[in-house]
Amino acid sequence: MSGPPLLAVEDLSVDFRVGEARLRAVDSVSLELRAGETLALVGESGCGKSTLARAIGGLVRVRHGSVRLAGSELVGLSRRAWKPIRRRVQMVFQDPDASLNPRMNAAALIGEPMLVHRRLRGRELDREVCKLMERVGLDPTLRTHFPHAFSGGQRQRIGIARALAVEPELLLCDEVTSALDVSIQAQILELLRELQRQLGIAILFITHDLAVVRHLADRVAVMYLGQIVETASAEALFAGAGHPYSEALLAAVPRVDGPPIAAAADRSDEVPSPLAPPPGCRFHPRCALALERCTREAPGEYPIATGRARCFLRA
Amino acid sequence: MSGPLLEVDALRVQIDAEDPDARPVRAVDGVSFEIERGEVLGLVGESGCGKTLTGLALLGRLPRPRGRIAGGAVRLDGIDLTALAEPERRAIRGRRMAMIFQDPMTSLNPYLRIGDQLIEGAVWQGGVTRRAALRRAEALLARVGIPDARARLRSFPHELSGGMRQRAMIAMALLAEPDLLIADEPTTALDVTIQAQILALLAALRAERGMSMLLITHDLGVVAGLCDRVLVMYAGQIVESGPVRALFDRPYHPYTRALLRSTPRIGARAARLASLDGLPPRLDAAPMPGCRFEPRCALARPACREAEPALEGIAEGRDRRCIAGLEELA
Repeated sequence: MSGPPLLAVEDLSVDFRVGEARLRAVDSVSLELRAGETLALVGESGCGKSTLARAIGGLVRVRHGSVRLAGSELVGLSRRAWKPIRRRVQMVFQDPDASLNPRMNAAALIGEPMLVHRRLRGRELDREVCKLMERVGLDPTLRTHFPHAFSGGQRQRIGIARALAVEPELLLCDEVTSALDVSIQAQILELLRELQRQLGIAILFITHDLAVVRHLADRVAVMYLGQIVETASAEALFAGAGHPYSEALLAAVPRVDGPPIAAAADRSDEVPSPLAPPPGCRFHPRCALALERCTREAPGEYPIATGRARCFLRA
Repeated sequence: MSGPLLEVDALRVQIDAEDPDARPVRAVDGVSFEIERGEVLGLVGESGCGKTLTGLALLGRLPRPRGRIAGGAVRLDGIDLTALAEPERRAIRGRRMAMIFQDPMTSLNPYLRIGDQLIEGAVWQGGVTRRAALRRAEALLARVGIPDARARLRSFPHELSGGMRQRAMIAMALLAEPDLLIADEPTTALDVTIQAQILALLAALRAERGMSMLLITHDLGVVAGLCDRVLVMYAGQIVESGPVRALFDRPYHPYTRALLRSTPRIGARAARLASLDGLPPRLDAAPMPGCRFEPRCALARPACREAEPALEGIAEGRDRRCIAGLEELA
């Protein structure tokens, strides 16, 4: 492929202060996303996936590293300099209620970004709002209704419409279907796929749900304790993981068409605290394949068939 | 003893509106099922279908003051719990049934050390020393996979991780060696690797104790992994029931089929997920004459609007509430 990727994250780190201690929530992460592509960022709670998305969206301070949108650097931009970028990068969150002002009706919520960024007014604004509502599967005659009059799935559609209102190139979706029932989740996932086909937007989709990843993603990045441990095409990952942690994740998902769960009472390993990540490979205390080397030395990223894995077994 | 452990017969739960003139919500509307000894029964459905209230009603723990059992019977070994006076009912429930929840903090007292909460009941009833009770609590914590159980007896709930709190709540539920464990979304708030551990623990407890379980969940994968039979609930009613494998392979109700087809699978990418347009009917409105799923059903026909279909046997061990031909559901 020619030209720079739409999004290029390089060696990005984000720190939080927890009392006196420093927590490295995102640790030297690099990833790329091309126009029209869906990259899923998957991992368990506390792995840093939401923080990474927020860092890309300019919502948390970056300690170190670079985020480039179509070649131009976003890290270190002033608030003012961010404003035109907001038109190109939009975020959708898990809880639409927290991001929708309850005192604004649907037309105002969806129209506001058009007014601010595209300077649409009056009849033209109203026409665009109706068009966008239809596009995300909302009845435009309901545009004078307030958020509480809509169901959870409809409110998430309003959230998506708001993000699309500025015609972004990149959509950062953070657990956007996690609070929804499965039949509503299906609607939102199909909507995102459809929108991507029509508009060619790139999507960074953050989720803990591997079945959703399977359905939506072109490529997948798996995070563990602040680091990306594997990137691969979705096809390749689900055919066979390149990192033992990805494999453990895949094996843990209860499947509708899977076998009964085997009885085991005493398996109780847990994710170590990100405040004190284990030395060597961060996954080694839970890894069935760990070598002596893994306890001392942190693995780099080694190429695998369709991506990279942070594992000595791939060296 | 012969016969099923638990029989639920035409159970109705109502939630009264705050406004006394408004209609109550018919949250559970004529639900009947049985649980055999040692059986794990799944109860699935989407939010608001009445699955949690069904579980709470079995234990007599409906939200007060507005929630109440409005009809039907809950028989444990043939004894109707809804007909008993409160102290007797409480004694049976405390000894023979226990419930665990999505959020362990609903069962754990944040101000008490884990050990103290676990022995509270035994010490209060008497006949056992504090030390003996603590030893038993420690064994139970170890049994549910909590490492360093003795030290954990002195921990407060907030000092444990989410997975460990869930294990502590399970230990507490097992104290009285109940015959029936009601588990309401026990792993929904947990990460997937921790969920796998808790599900494996529940499978182990069932295997070694022969305990019956009612597993309430929205997750069809969890049901497939743990349950023998499953009930599918929609708008306060059971719309389909049967053995898990057969029912998931070939659903006989269009709602079950829609649920299965809208669930993304990790094993294969579907060309398109099915979606259900519209919403379930409001349960505080006057009941409509027809099938409750009809407005959203792909197989709806005029007859569906005329009368509500009954839950009827359609094959060995399979019931459903639908008049469509089975060939239409293939």
